[in-house]
Amino acid sequence: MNTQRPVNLKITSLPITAVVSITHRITGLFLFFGTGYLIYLLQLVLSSEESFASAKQIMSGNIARIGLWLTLVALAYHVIAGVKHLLLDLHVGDTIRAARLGSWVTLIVTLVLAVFAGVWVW
Amino acid sequence: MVTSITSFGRSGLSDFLLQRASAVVLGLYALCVVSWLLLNPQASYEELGWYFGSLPMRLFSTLALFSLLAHAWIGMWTVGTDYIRKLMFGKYATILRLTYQMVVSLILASYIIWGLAIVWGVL
Repeated sequence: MNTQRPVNLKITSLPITAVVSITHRITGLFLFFGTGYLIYLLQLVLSSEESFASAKQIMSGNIARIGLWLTLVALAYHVIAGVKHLLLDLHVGDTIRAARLGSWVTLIVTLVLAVFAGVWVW
Repeated sequence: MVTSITSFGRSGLSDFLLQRASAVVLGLYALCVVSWLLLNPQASYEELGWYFGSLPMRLFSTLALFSLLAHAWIGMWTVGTDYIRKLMFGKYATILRLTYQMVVSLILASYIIWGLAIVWGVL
């Protein structure tokens, strides 16, 4: 790569829109594994009375609950950021001001849902 | 340069559209399951079996699993081709990226087969 690139192409700090965008990707990556956890739980609760009971047993532990909570938060974020992305595809809210606002809305709604998910899991 | 031999729909435009269509299915499925679970917080083993075993939910779960395959494939492909490049990995980039892609597809295939087995009552 050309090392004599114009210096103004170097990104020195991430604007809020970029932070929300990269987090969308990170939550997606996280969900790639989180989905496996959800399928595992689905198998436990559906396959037999005994495994249903063992799922309840497993879910009484904090580590299992944290895992579920993180997966739910990642899912919530990924879905909300996804809806924002689809709206941007349709040129809804793609001015710089609207995009900043949309990014904040994504973060705040996820935060609220994260609290709800926490109450739900615990 | 990375050629698109491991893309999902064999073209960028097709992947773009599939990514979005599958996203809508997965979003609706998540909403559907989460709202049922919220409305039935103390659901018993029988009630969960009745819900996921009903024909509409079996079809919806199947659709969601195939959407997951497309959606995660395209997403993970995008991540892989963005970061596993010559710039970061030199001459090992291609072999690393293809290995990564194969591991991803293997995991996704397992998810689909596993999920289908659960949904259709084999497991």
